[in-house]
Amino acid sequence: MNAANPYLPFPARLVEACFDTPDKSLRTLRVAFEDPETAARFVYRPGQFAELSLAGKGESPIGIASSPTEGTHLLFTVSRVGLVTSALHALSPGDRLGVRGPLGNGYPLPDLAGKNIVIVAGGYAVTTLRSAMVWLLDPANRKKYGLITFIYGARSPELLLYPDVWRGWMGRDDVDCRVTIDNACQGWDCLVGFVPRVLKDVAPASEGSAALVCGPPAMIRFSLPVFEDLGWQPEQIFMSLENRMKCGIGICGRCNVGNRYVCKHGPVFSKAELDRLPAEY
Amino acid sequence: MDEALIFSRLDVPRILTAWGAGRAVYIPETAGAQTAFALFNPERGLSLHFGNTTLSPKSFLFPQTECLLRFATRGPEAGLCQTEPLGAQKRLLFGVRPCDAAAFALLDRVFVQDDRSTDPFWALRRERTLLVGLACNSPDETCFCTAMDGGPHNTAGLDILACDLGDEVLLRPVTDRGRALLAEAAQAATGVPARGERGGAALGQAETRRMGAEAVMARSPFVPGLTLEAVSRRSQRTVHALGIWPRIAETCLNCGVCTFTCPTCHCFDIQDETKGGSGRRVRNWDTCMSWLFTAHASGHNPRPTKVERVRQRFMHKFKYMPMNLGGRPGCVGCGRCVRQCPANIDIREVLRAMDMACRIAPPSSLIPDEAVS
Repeated sequence: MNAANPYLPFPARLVEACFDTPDKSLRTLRVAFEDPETAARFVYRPGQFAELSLAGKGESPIGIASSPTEGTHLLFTVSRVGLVTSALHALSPGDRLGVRGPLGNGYPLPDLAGKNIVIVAGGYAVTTLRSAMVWLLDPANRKKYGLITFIYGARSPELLLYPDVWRGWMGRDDVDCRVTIDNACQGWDCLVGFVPRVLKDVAPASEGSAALVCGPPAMIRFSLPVFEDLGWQPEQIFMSLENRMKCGIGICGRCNVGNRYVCKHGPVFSKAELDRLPAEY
Repeated sequence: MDEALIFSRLDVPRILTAWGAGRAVYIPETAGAQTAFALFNPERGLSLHFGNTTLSPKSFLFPQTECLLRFATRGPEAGLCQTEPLGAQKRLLFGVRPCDAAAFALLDRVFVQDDRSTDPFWALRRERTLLVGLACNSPDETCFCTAMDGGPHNTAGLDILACDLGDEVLLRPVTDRGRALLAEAAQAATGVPARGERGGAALGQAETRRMGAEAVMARSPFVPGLTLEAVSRRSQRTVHALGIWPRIAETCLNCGVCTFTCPTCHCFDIQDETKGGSGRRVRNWDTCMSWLFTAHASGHNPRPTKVERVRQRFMHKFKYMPMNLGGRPGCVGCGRCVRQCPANIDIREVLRAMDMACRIAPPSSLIPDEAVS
């Protein structure tokens, strides 16, 4: 964050980009700060986000998909839905963009040291959970945690993000990685079925565990009862919210859920916190 | 200057002129049905008889449109953003009502929260703006500051509080800046220290006027019994789920005039504007009454109808802000929204409805420790 003017983005360049899905609705951008000092000062945690800025178009809040353990380049997976995100999809390598952040609280991973971690992801909401997984599996961090379970689903194979990364996790013996699609299709070698179903099969024990859950509303709606049936408490489940945002620092007043601002107090909230807030998100 | 000074009322223009050395001085001016802050002109004189200004003075610290940064859209510098430097102009606002000053004190806590959430534009303007308040001796019919942690002679947010005593004006310093300002005033005109017999009489007169103003509000059918007490005891989930909201929102047009005239409404939008090869990023006042305020790019909207949007405004003022600001209501009782609402929605009646409903609402099943009256 720029101390003198928090609205001022840091100049950055697009290093490379690829479309993640055949319909080109999702594009992952690798971004580097122009100034190495900025890159060194941009200290972020998994689960935080940044405002991606294009001068003349505006800003869009996007979760950081890279992990701070991966170096100074940042990864963002952007869904093309509006003016700014369409312009982000049209950028070419070398083009300039602005990055304002890091913003938000991120997942409370340091507080969860010593616990088993269950990650449940659906669709392209996996972005900041990719960051969390890469961070957790970093040799410096992995030993601080117990079992790590990663459950990830999408409608079809081509909608699953970061296949190279999670296929790599499947080959490891220190993580239980389950990837699923909604309906069977030819050539698919992993699971078939909805995420809540897979979660039920895995049946992670609640004791000494915490879960990070991010996905479409239907996935959340059917996954939470599974956790509940397994004896999980609301304090153990963390979710990341999205709301329309502008300032990103808890001032402009639009992203609130009850008395909490998603941009500042979130985007990560425990289910226990959300239970105390009006369900207006 | 630690103590209050008594000046002849006829000396006030001279004092304002002295304060105007090195500062732009603004005073409330009435033109037709509108009262607005305008640059002080000694030749036009000034009146101390006005109700609350039509719009709050918040635009002096939080302009309706404000440039946050500039950029080029072409050439090698394209996309590089530069902070828009704020001018060095110093300002003095004279005649700020205690309710509006209380709103500034409240917004200080919104715009300057901590290291990560500090709005430099607000902070710098606030630092460069001196506020000389004018105590209310005759509140408007829509005033209810006494129910909102305020009062007609309150000093929160001010540097000096002026009290009109008829032929004389009592200037009471509040801050160190105000004390320095009072010393300037004492050089421009003869000020009598408010002590001894004469000072006691002046302070007594001011006190009488304060009690008179409070009595006006106490006699209003809308103010007595107005309290956040029950709302503060219930959980935000319970207040949010009250059955009163559809009826309150029913007549609302979502026009947003309440938010624009409100001295504590501070929500803003950020937009880019371009022309030729350059552009700027500006923030504009926004309103929670707008559908677009919360609409996601996906089409989803957490506040899809006016019921949710109207509820948000009152929840923000009477539940969320008190929760975040140690019990301080997010309303200062200036009454502007009551006067301006084209559908006659009266925030005092809304609070009363919230209060009544909170007293009888069942406890929330999700929040076992909720206090119920």
